[in-house]
Amino acid sequence: MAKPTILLVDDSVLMRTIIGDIVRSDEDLDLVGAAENGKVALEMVKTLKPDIVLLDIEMPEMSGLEVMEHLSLTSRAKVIIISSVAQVGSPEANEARALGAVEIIAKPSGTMSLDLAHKKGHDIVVAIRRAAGLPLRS
Amino acid sequence: MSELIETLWRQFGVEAGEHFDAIERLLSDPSGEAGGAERVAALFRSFHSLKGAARAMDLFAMEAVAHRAETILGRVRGGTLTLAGPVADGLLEALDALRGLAELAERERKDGKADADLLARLDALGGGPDGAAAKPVPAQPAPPPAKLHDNDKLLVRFVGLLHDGMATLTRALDLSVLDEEGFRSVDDTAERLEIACERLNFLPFADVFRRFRAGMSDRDPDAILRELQALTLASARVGRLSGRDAGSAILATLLADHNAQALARGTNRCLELMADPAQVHGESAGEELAGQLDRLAATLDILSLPRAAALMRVVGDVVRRAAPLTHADWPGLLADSRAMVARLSHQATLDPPEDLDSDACAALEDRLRRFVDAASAAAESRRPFTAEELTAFGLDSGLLRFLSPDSAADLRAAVADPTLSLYEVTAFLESSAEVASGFVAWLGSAVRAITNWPEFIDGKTWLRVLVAAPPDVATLQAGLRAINPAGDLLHLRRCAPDLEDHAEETPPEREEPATDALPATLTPAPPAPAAPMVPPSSSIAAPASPTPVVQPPAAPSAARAPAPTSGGVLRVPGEVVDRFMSRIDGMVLLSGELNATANDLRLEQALAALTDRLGAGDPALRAVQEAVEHHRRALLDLDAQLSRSVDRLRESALDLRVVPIDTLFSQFPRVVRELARVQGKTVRFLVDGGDVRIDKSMVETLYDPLMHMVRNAIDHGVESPADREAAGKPGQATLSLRAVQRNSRVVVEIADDGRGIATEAVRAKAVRSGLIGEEDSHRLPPDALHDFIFASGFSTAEAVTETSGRGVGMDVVRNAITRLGGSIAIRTREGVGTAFAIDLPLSAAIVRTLLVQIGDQVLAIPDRCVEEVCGFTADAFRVVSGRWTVLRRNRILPVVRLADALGFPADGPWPPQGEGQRLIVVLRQGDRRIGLEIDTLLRRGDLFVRESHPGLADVPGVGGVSLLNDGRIVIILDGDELYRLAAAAQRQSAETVAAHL
Repeated sequence: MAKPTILLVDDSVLMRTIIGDIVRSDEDLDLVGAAENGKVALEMVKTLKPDIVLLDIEMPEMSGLEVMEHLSLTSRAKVIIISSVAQVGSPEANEARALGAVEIIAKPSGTMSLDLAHKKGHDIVVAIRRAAGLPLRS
Repeated sequence: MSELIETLWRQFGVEAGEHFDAIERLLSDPSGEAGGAERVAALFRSFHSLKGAARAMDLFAMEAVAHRAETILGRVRGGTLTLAGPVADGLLEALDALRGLAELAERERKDGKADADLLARLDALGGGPDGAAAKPVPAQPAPPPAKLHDNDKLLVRFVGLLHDGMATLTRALDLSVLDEEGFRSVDDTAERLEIACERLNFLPFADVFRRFRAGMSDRDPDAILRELQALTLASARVGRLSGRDAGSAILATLLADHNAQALARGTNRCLELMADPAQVHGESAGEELAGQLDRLAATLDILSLPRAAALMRVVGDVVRRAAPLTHADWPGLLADSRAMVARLSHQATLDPPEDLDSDACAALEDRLRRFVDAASAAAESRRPFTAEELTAFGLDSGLLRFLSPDSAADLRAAVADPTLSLYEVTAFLESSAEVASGFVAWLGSAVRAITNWPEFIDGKTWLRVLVAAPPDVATLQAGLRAINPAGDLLHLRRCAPDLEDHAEETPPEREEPATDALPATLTPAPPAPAAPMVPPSSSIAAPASPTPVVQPPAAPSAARAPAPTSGGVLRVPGEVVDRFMSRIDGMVLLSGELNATANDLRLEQALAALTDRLGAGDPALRAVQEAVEHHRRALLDLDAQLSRSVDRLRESALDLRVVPIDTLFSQFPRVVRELARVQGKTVRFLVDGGDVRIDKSMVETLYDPLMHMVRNAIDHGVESPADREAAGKPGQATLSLRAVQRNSRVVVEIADDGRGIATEAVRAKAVRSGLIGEEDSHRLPPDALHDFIFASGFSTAEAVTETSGRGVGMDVVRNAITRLGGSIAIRTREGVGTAFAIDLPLSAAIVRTLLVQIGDQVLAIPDRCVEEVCGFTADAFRVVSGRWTVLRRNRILPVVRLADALGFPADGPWPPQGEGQRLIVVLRQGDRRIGLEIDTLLRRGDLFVRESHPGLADVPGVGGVSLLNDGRIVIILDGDELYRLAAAAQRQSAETVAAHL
């Protein structure tokens, strides 16, 4: 079975590096691209047809929620929101859910502790694997 | 790894700089309109991004400042504040503080401290520390939508088609009355729309039509309705993005009745599912409920009941985050949520349907949000500490292994509480029951006990307890003095947070005669933490100014949650279990003595002699003799039953001492990453079987050997990524640590896919070290050669490296494991990897031994190493091939005096002379045997192994010590080591024999 392909959308290069590193730590996943804003993300979704989009909400140019509105019509990709804005019960989280986000998780923290992928990053990998229908590892 | 971290710091610096410049520009732009939405949004985003970046780099002070600035801008965005005067000034101040903190972080790679006054000022502007969380700001006004599709004409045609097709599509709901032609026309419409969607690349939309058609052909009314609902929402989105009427409103009207029915069904199912909190626990039930709530929300969206829809999504979200659902507050929240669903099921059937009360929803949502925060904070507070964190609190990093998730949470709570300080109490509880019970009561009332661990001081096991208490040393001292007026059994030490505080707070030493009982020379030096420990004699002195031990590194705004209660689990202080165990230990010993008495050979011999003497004599005496014999058998029977019963009791008691091996394993991932980083290697670390349970004392004893092997694996086993790739392996190495339970044993395996052990290098080294002759070495199979790495002092590492060079060798690893009653085996293939398998008993606390005596000293030989004990007369001892031997079952058994093997002074002649039997203990190692001559055989005994004194642990052959019921000390011998010593002594005696002849 082909590895699930993943597009990462975040305006921060730091976050893209951290999250990218986490995703790459799981060899069952294929990170195919990273976009720095919503417009670029929509273009990349069109060409790369990823299985999963990791999407930030607070972004210049086009917010994550707008991206989702488009994606909900134009892409079969499953969207996982990675944002510190979209906490439980926030309007953003509600809207993202209504637009079909499969999971909403907080941004990773604690990079300096070396078990990066082990901690919060794990949440991201778990969410992706669940969305992709891959077995979860203990 | 280290490269990645370098990259991250560089990116952090650049990105933070960009945001600082942007904020500066936006705040000071005189031409900018004061509250321009664009400007506020950009400022909000910049502070928000800074917060995220700071958090990612563990810079809590920066995060705290940026969070407050973000909160203020949230209020500006929401219209409750204007971006002028004090607000702009506050933000500029925040900017300056952030710049300073970022510079410090980049320079020193560490978190700084945020100015408390500034935080308070920002809080005041933002409306309290929880401003943002409590009042979520409305999403920013939507800017003009981006173009939905490049081909406008095609889009317009599609929207028209959609709009006109709605009425036809809803006919599918009356499937039962639809004739064939009608069916075809609905299906045709759906197919046309599906194709149009495909052409426009509206793939999920096309999926809706495909599923709709599938629902029709399956005659599944629920699926049809579900897809029509999806169509309603999707067409509303198309309408909004294209600026045209896509027929969503028409569809909603046509569906009105069905939506109401769907709503009724949905609410009923939710009410059912929510009735029992235990049900929602289950993964599948939780999944179903979350799915139902989502569907309900979608239906409510169509019915234009947005308030209820939002609430249903929030509840669904909480349910989906299954983790916090074990929290004590959950049943109450679930019940309240259910009440809202019940209200909704009533209000939504009114005409027109009525939305839920906005304030009630907001209140419940707020509680749910706080619940999730609290529950995840509770989970977060239970995460393991790092050694650095502990050192910063003035604690020994060795404490890590005694911090369970619960005690970690307790410690975090104590550290975050400015009214509490940390203290260490060292207590000796074995000598006085009053002190012990008084102390336990004191722990339960006067202070908050966080964790405890045994400490071996001056040949005795003391108990150290980490407690949190108000910084009032005098009261604490008085409390302890009341329990132990002599002051010799309980000692208090304040844990100093760091060097400066320590210097400030330690007043001139005050005489405390009581502490003489614990002379510094007898206190084993604790592993040195960064801050010097206060020696016992000065530790009891009160600090001059009671200041909080430590400032919490970042006071997160989320409230500290109480530790979740674990239903059905009884938490018992460690010392209670230990006391219980030592009582059982005493009982086990008594049962052993009963066994020895009942089985006493002399009784049997006496009875046998009696039988002989009586012959066929006096029948009355014979009857008495038979009665005694009968009683002896009954006694043996009872003894057998009692030992089985005691065994079972001991086994269930041992269950009290077991912990998941994960408490040990979880200490490794960090080490592995750090080691790999230092050496520029990439290592994937897999842990498996963490739920296997082992004796808690083993966790401690296993740590060093495991650590050594993990270090070895990374240091010597794993190649550099370049070497690996050159060898055709993935650049990332895999190191795995797994545990498997097999009956009453646990096998721990450490395996790497590194370069393996070079058999030839081991062979050559073994020859060089004189462990084996050159020629013999070539005859040995590789497996046997590999075993040499466990030989004393053996190491193939050519260079002493920072990591494993100064650690213990594999011989020490093996000794530690043997001492636990375990064994270690190695499998390795050059170029493929190495695996060590450690086979351990579930509990190392009690070992079955054979007790023997030489001179006055009682010695214990582990039962598993003893084949049998037999008696020989002096004339059985013969010299064969220059060695003293006896003939046992027609085989030659080399023999040696146990005293000689251990280097103890021996009485009497060797070889034995004179009348009577000499006792030989047959010791086995693999398929080799050696006989040990002993003075006296005492009995078999189960011994509760106590940690041996460090000085004794190094004596060859000694595995540990224990106490007999009469208080005598028993030395427990290490089976393998004893065999080695015996064989060596035999060789030596052979030389003496040779010299004599």
